[in-house]
Order: sequence, then C-alpha cells, then structure tokens
Amino acid sequence: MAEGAGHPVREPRLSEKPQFDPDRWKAISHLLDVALELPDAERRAWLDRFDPRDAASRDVIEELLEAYSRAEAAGFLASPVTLDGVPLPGAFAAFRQGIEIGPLSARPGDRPRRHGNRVACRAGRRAVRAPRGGEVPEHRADRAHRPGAVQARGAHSGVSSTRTSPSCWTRA
Amino acid sequence: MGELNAADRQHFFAYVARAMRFVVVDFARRRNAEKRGGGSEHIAIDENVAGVLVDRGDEILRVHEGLEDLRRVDEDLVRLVEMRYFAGLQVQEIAQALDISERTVERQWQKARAILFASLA
Repeated sequence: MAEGAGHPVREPRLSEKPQFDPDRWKAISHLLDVALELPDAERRAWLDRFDPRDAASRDVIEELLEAYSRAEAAGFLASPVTLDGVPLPGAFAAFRQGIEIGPLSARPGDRPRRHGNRVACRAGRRAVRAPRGGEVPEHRADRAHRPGAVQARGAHSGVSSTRTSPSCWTRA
Repeated sequence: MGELNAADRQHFFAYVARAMRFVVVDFARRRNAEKRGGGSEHIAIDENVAGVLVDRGDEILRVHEGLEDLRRVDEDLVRLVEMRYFAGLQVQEIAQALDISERTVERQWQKARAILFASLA
C-alpha cells in the first residue's frame, strides 16, 4: 500500500521474515480471518475502513493477503509432498488407511468379526493373524493393540476392502 | 473396544503428520548432502523417494525452517501444514481429524501459506 501524505507514522511494515509475538499474531489472525471471508472486491473497502490509528495492522494484513496471492500464483505449497503423484508410501500409507477404517485394536481373546475366514490386524509390517474361529494369541495381541497405528486387512479373498469394517475385532 | 476420542485422534494425527515431516526432511537433507558430494559418506536412500524429493528438497527444507519460526506464535498452523503438506491429508480428512469445519481448515491453510510465503520470500 502506498505511503500517502498525511498518514500517521506507522510501525515498520511486514519484514521479509515476519516476527510476531503470540498475542499480536492472535489479533492479526482474527482480522485475517475476516478478510479471507470477504470477496476479493470487498477487501479493499474493508481495509480502507480500518481505524487510522491501527494502520500497522492494516498494512500487515494487506501484505499477508498479497503474500497469499503470490503464493497461489507461484504454486507455493500447492501440492503435498508426493511420490509420482501419490502421497509418500510406507508408514503414511498405513496412516491414511487408518483414517478411513478407523482406529482398531486387538486384545487377547478377541475374535475376528464379520469375515468368515481370518483377519489380520497389522501394526506396521507385523501381522497378527487369527485362525478361523480362533482367538488372538496373547503373545501376539500386544502387537495389534496399538490404536491408530493398527490397520485391518482382510486376508480372505472375499474381503475386498479394508474400508468395509470399522472394527474387525469383537470381544470374545 | 472404543474408537479414539476426539482428543486422542487429534494427538494421533498430529503425531503421525509430524513424524512424516521429519522423515521427509531427513530424506531431503540427505539428498541435498549427496548432491553436494557428501564427503566420503554414502547413505542408502530409497531411490524412488529420493528422486522425487530432489526437485523439492530446497522448498521442503525452507518450509521446515519456516515452521520452526511459526511454531512460536501459532502451533495450530504448524500442525495444519504438517498434515496438509507433509502428510498429504485432504481438507476433509483434516477437518474430520481435528473436529473442525472444512471452511476453517481452508481458511487456516490460506493463512499458513501466506505467512510462510512472506517469511520465506
């Protein structure tokens, strides 16, 4: 924003590396929320209605809005880190599946539910398998009892998707 | 056997996203070191991952450093960037995980991009 004659003395404008204290940022963040909810065409008028005594906040908000526009134009953070267009594999692939199927856990004595054959609940790469109609062996249960890190995978060919069961274990 | 409560879910997602951030940053650092010769030390890196990160390694490291500054004033934005950028979660997934509206996630994301871009420009 141009520094016009007659404007009050302002605090330094947003530097290349903005430094805020938490309280200051909280106030700026709240105002930025308001600005971001406005259509582009209305933001200028909204900024112009700022109390001249708080011109410093107005300048910071205006620069952050401009920064956002430049970030958009530059594609900054436009896409997450990917591997050939697919989110990073490995642990996070399991994490993403965990979101879709919900948290799971298994304890000694639990029986696989719904899937007639067997179900494996995996913690990382380690599978905990329960045989048909069987129970989770105690020495293996702790592997699976890791809520969130555990994902269910139907070991039977008839179980087509891990998303079919929000909870694959049932208490014996 | 219950589902994780809202607080546990938030902590879990935040924890995993942060873990992913540091995994990615570690890859990027190693890759950059290899590009520079890396002395006599050779670190085995998954070539698939390293190949993808090579072009974005600098951005990843700069964002990582920017987040360290941002953490001092707004932990929520840091958590959001970790989930969205480093962990690749969709807006809907983040909203569900954090139990907030999608519009709030979008607005927070706009703020995070703005302040990081301004600080890294």
